[in-house]
Parts: sequence; C-alpha cells; structure tokens
Amino acid sequence: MKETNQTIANRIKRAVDASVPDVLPKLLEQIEETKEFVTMEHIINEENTRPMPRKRWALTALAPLAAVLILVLAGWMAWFRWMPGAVISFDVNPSIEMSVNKKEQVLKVTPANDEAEAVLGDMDLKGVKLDVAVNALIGSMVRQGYISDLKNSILITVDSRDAQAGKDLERRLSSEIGDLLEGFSVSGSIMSQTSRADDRLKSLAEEYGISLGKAALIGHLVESDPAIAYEDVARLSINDLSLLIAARQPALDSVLITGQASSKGYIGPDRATAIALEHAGLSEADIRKLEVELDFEDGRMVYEVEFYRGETEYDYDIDAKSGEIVKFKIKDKSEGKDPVTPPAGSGSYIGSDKAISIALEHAGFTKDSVTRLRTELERENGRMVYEVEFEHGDYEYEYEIDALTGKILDIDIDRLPSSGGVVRPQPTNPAYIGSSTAEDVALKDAGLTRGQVRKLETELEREDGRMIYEVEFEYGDYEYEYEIDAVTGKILDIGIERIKKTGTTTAPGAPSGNLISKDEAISIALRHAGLSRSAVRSLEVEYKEKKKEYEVEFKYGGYEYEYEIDAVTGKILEWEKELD
Amino acid sequence: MKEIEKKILQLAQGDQGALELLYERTKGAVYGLALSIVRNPQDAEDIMQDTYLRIYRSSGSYRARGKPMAWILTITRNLAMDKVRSRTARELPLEEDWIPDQGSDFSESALDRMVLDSLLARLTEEERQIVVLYTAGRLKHREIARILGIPLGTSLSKYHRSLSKLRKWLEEEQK
Repeated sequence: MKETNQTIANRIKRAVDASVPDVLPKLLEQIEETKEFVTMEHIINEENTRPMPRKRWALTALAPLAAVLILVLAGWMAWFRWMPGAVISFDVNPSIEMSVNKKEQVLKVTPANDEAEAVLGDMDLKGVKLDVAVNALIGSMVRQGYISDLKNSILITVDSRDAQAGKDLERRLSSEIGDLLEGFSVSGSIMSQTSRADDRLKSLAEEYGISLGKAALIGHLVESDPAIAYEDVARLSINDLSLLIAARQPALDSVLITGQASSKGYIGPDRATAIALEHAGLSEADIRKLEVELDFEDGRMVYEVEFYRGETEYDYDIDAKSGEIVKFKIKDKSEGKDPVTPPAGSGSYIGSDKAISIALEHAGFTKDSVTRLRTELERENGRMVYEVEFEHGDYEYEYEIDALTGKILDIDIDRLPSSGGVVRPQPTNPAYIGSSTAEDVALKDAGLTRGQVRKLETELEREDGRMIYEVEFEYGDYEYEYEIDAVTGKILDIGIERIKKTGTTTAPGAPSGNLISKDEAISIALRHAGLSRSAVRSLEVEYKEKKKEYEVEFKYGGYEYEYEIDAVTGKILEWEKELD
Repeated sequence: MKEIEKKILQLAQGDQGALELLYERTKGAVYGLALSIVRNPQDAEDIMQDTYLRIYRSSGSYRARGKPMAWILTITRNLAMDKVRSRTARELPLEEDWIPDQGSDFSESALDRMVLDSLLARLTEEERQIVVLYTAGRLKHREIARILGIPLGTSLSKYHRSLSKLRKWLEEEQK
C-alpha cells in the first residue's frame, strides 16, 4: 500500500488504540479505597478536635514577603532522640529554619539565604524557648522592613513526626505571630501548613531554588488543581501564591490562611476593568454581567474580566501587575445575526462579515444555506484571528482566518454526531460528488455491490490541501479503504488489508454461517476488560439467535462484567460493569 | 466535547458512573499523550491511572468553558512532565530511551507499531505530542497549540513535517 501522511496518521491512531491498557478496574478499586480512607480520617479528626475548641479562621490572603517558618519537632538530632521534636521554617523571603525539641527549646537556627543572615544578625537563640525566639525573629523582620504593609505575608511550615502535635503547633504559631504583628501595627497575613520534608520535596526545592516550605505549599496547590503546572507557579512570590490560594474554590484545607494578603502590588480589579472597557470602546453603562477574578494564567497573575454587551461576550485577561492585555476574546453568542463589532483600535481588521464571506466562499456555500453561524475575534499567540463556525448538512465547519490579511489559517470539518443508522444523507458542498457517489465509485472499482460488503463508512476529509472522501468497507477477510477526490471523483488511493482474526478455530456448538464463535466472543470481551480467561470467575456465554448477539458475563475483582457482542462483526455493542 | 464536559460536571456532583464513560471516551488520547512524553508503557499506564484519579478528585474545580479535553490533557501532560523530570533527577537514562522493536514482520498491525515506535524513538518531545494529540487525541491544531503553549502555525507545520518524516522512514524500512 502506498503510504500517505493520512495513512501514517491512521497507523499512529491504531497503534495507540491497540496499546491502551485498561486501568479502569484498578482505578475504581483505588477510588473505593480512598473513600474508605477519607471517611476514617474524618472520624479520627472529629474525635481529636472535639475536646479542643478552636478559633474559626477567616480564610483570606497573604502578601509579597516570602516568609516561611518551619518548625521540625522530630528527634533528628541523635542526642535528643528520646525527646521527639519538630522543625519550623519561616518564609518571608528571608527563609529561616528552626529546630526545636519536645520541650520547645530551640536546638538550631539555620538561615537559608543572605536576607535571613541579616535578620538573625548576632542573635544567639540556641536553648531559648520557642515563643521567645519567634518574638525576636519577627521583631527583627519588621524592624528591618522585611514585613511591612506592602509585603505582609509569612508562610509557616511545621515538620513533625507526630502529625497531631505538628498541626497543633502550626495553629498556635499562626495565632501567636498574628498577635505579634498586630503589636507592631502591621496587618500581616499568615499561611501555615504541616509538611514532611521527604526526598521528593527536597529535590523539588533544590531544582527550583526555593525553600522546602514553599515547595510544600506549591505541592498543596498543585494537588488541589492538577491543571496547574508546578514549574509555572514555582516562580511566584509567597504573596502571589497566597492570593491565588485564598481565591481558590473550594478552599484548600491543607493550608490555613489568616489575615488579608496585600495586593498593593497589583493594579486592582477596578483598574483592570477600566483597561478592558477602554480597549473594547465601551463604558460601564453599556455592559452587563461584569465579573472580575484574579487568576493565574501562563505563568503570571492576571485579572480575568468578563462582561456582556447585548449578546456579545467579552473576555479579557489583564496582567495584574503591568495592566497589559494578555489575551482577549470577543464572542458573538447570538446565532448568525448581529456580527461582532470590532473593538477600538482594530480598524485594520477585515471585520467579521468579510471573514464570514471568505469562509463561505471557500466552502462553496451561501449564508442562507448554513446554520449556527458564529464568529469570534480571538488573539492566538500574538496574532488576531477570526474564528468562523457554521454547520451545513451533517458537517460542522470551523475556519480560522487571519484578522489582518484574511488568509485562511486552519480549516476543520467535523461530522456532526449522527443520529445513528448507516444511511448517509447527501452532503453539503454542491461542488462535491457526494458520499453515495463516492461509495459507488469505490464499490465499482472493487467489483462489489452494496449488498455484498459490511461496515460501509464514508467520511469527508481534508487531506494535503484537498477534500477527499474516505470510503471504507469490509468484504470477506479484507478491509478496503478508498480515497476519492471530493470534486473530480478520481480514486487517489486504495488500501486493502487483511482483517486480523481473533481466533481461527471454530468451537463446536457455535452457530453456523459467517458468525464468530463463542470462544471468539469470549476473547473479545476479555481483551476489552484487560483480563485473562483464567483470572475471571463465573464465565458464561449465551447466543441470542433473535438479535444475532453473544452475551458474555463474568466476574472479576468484586465486579460483574456483561458484554453484548455482535455475532457477525464481533463488535462490542454494549458493556456494563457493576459492583457484584 | 459537550458530552465530556457533562460527564465531568456529573462527576463533580458525585455521579461515579460518569467516570467510566469519561474514561471510555478519552482513554486513547490520555494514554497516547502520556506515552509520547514518557516513552515507556509502564510509566504511561501509571500516569493514565493517576490522571483519572485526579479528574475524579478535582472535578469540583473544573470550570465549564467548553474545553474539557484541554483540561484533561493538561492534567496528563503535567503528570507526565513531572515523571520525566523526576526520572532525570534519579538518573535512569536507560528507561528513557525507547528502543524500537527491530522485527521483519510486515503485517499491518506490525507496521502500525513500527510507525509508533519510530515516532517515539526519533521525533522530538514537542513533535511527538503534536502528532499524538492530533491523531490519537483527535484534537484540533488550535487546541493543541493552546495546550502546548506554541503558536498555531508551529503546530500545523511541525505536524506535517513529522508525518512526512515518519512516512519516509517507514518507506525506507520496507525497502
């Protein structure tokens, strides 16, 4: 078979599909386990917390001072092994690590950077009680200007072998430091957490050149929102992180935040709104449903400003520090009518009407013959594009058109989810021969009729700059694949492949004719489940003459599996997995 | 896309059955992307499982914006990149190198496998992701560009160039 880029692409798809493992059984097991674990943990926590009434902490944000305070209470000094202790780290940006023994006497203070050395000066805190040492440290940080109204965030991390003791210490420190800062007339914001310094955390801290406390904090954030990449947020300051964590919904329960982080380094939501409105050439009176949210996007803090004017949705991302417009999107929510008004300063764009006519002309349609016509002006990696979408017949068309030049950048034609059934209605572009003509061309070439072939399927596709029909069908042991020029009807490519047989022997007792055997039906189901025959219990197979289907049932790992398999094609028609 | 989004929202409301449907619809793309980054079936399988576990746990933080595949694949990508990073930290270079199976079997499925092998062995990390996301992931170039943080034109041109390279390699193999 002559290879084309399309056949190569098909090969990759098939090879990937063929190698996908089935992790679903394991996954469901794991989820069940987590559920039990969470429930148990919940009960234990309830019991532990009940006798100790605690303050309710307001969850608010922190500011740009990367102050981490880590207290490690775990006998990691050999001679204190009989007395469990903890390590506490304070990150404000001076990062200071302090280890204490069980009696809360300071064993060691380690400055993690130059600023921390300055904070410590010639203070000797060894042997001093923890609260006295903390008082001295915080006092020094405030006096030297590391904690101020502009940079008011502190991160406290407690590393203790005894989880409950660590948690208690974390809360107590958070409250004590809050009181201390109040005494200095600084409205500080304190984030606190417990964490164990394991090898993974150490290597992350080393890789990004951050403290263990910050590494743990980012770990908590990334854990709560897996769409955030570690490397992207590692560069943020403690203050940015604090604002980000405080804005999270639902709140991060692994990090306790008290006090309001300073956002004085940011332009603020009002300024962000004004920038967006100015760009759109609108005033606040023109718009409705205004929403502004501080978010993190592509490695920076942004204000996400959203609003509507009429049926048009505006969506801006504005850099929270510089006020630069990072991204904007204008979307016409009405269908077809009322095209997008280009924003101020976009006079050189071709306009959405022109974009629509370019797309329609290319597709060979008129505006009246398409449905769900929509345009969007979008910024795509530095260039402005019109995205034109519409539906025609069974297909959804999506064009991307350069907003300045009118050049077509990308075309996507997707078949709409069909309502089922084999009959394909006539397409679309009058210039094309139509899928049924394409099928006739292919079948004639193969010397076959519609009645003789199975699984006849036709798709309109764009390949190497031209539109083609891909006609596929099966006959005997072979699968045929034709590529036919959508305009000329010329055959461009033919592929004939032997269909892989699942098993060659026909089991006795199997229905006659062209049907697959019971054994084949079983292997199809087992292969789909990723299980072997010896692994499963209560295997049953039944042939349903009326429907020409096999019903395969078996049990494995606490689940009951049930498959319905087409006895002619071997295709899985339906499957079910239920807790047994 | 709408259906996938609906499943995520159902999952967030505690409908665990939605996970299985979500899994069926997306497993090829998730596994393919993981494999294209880590180039090791075992690690790719682990990442696949982890991806769905995280989807299950974080479905509540998903904000419906019509881009559920981008969300899912971003999770997969982050996990896979973490894995690659932690592997380099542990210095296990042997695992990193995908060694293609040098067989003389020219059946169709063997040829499919050969193409995937040479993709994993010979293309760059970025090319591998683009090609797999487009073929196995059925994503549009615009979506790929967004997920990978590259310009649209780069995704388009690298895709076509990569496929041409793969085609030439396959043709040479078959000579």
